[in-house]
Amino acid sequence: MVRILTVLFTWLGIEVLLAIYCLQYGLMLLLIGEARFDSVLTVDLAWKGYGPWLGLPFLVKAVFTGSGVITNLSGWHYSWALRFIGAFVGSAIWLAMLLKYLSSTAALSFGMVVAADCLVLSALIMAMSYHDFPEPRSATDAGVH
Amino acid sequence: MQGFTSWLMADYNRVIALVAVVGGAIGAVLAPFIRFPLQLRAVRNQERLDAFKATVDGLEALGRQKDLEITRLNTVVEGHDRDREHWYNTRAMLVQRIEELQSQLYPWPENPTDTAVVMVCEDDIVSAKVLCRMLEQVQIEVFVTTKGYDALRHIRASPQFKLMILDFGLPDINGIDVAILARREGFRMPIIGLTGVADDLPKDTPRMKEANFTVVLPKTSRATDIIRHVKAALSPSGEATG
Repeated sequence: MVRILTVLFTWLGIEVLLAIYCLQYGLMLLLIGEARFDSVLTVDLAWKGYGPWLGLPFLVKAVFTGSGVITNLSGWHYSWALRFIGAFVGSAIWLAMLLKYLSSTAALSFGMVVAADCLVLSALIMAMSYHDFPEPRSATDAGVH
Repeated sequence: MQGFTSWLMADYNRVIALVAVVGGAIGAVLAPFIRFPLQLRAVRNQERLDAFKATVDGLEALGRQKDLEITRLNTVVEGHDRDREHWYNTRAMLVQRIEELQSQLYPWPENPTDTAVVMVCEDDIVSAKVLCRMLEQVQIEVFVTTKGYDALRHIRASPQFKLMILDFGLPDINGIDVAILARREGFRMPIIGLTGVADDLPKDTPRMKEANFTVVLPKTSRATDIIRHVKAALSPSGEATG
């Protein structure tokens, strides 16, 4: 368990963390109706009737990044593509959030800072996954001795 | 076009969504030009190759101390990431060289004697030597093989083996798979697993159940514990006590 956590939080840690954030928020938007009205990001869209769809981009990002990380750890050669798509969807989400915050009354909120940082991180993750780093299985190739 | 523009401008959320997707796409197009992952990987690969090369150097020096005819490896070891094929080939060549040197320095008997009852399958020479010495001190004759498929070949050919001690990280096949294949072929002998991560290993997976290890011991186990489990496995009741 300690070894798995070490691997996750060294090479693929940021991706795992962003995927978990997206999974949590996506599920919250999907399952808890009130959540859609509690944020400046979603409240106007919720009033317009887009509520049920608001969690979808977050869940798509979580699914792609999550499966990309899992297949990377298990050594699938094309796991970079899943991670890349996840990071691409993530970049779009963070950029949309950033613009939404900047155009709202909560422009200088903590959420705006998080969205800006996540946008930069997602761009770096896109570069990392494009170059297939870390290589599939290399995070665990110390082997069982 | 005008229709699209008016549709877009009707709601600023649409503009935001469009900008976000276009921004993401620009990031995706620029991703190949961000080079830092390549530098990270090159550094990491170089460290791993250096470690392999240090092992080769150490084994070559040991061979010369023992007056063996050791040919020196004259290869430039570079972990340039631009040529991944080169890196994989260099790593494979170094691993092969380490195996050659190990077999030259520590030649194991190719076939077991008729009196050996315990087979040790362990690719790490030092661990295998320590284990052998430990068991030979209590008059248990051991035969060592360094590869999983060799272990299977020997238990098929030599029915005198009463116990197998398996390392998990073998060069050709995982130790758990060796145990599974042995079980599928009908061998019911006790099998002791040895691994560095015994505490983290899930014991109730279908593979572990099929492998049916008598016990899985950490490599850090005390000699007395290992000997106790080996003696128990060799006893008719086949269970460790105490």
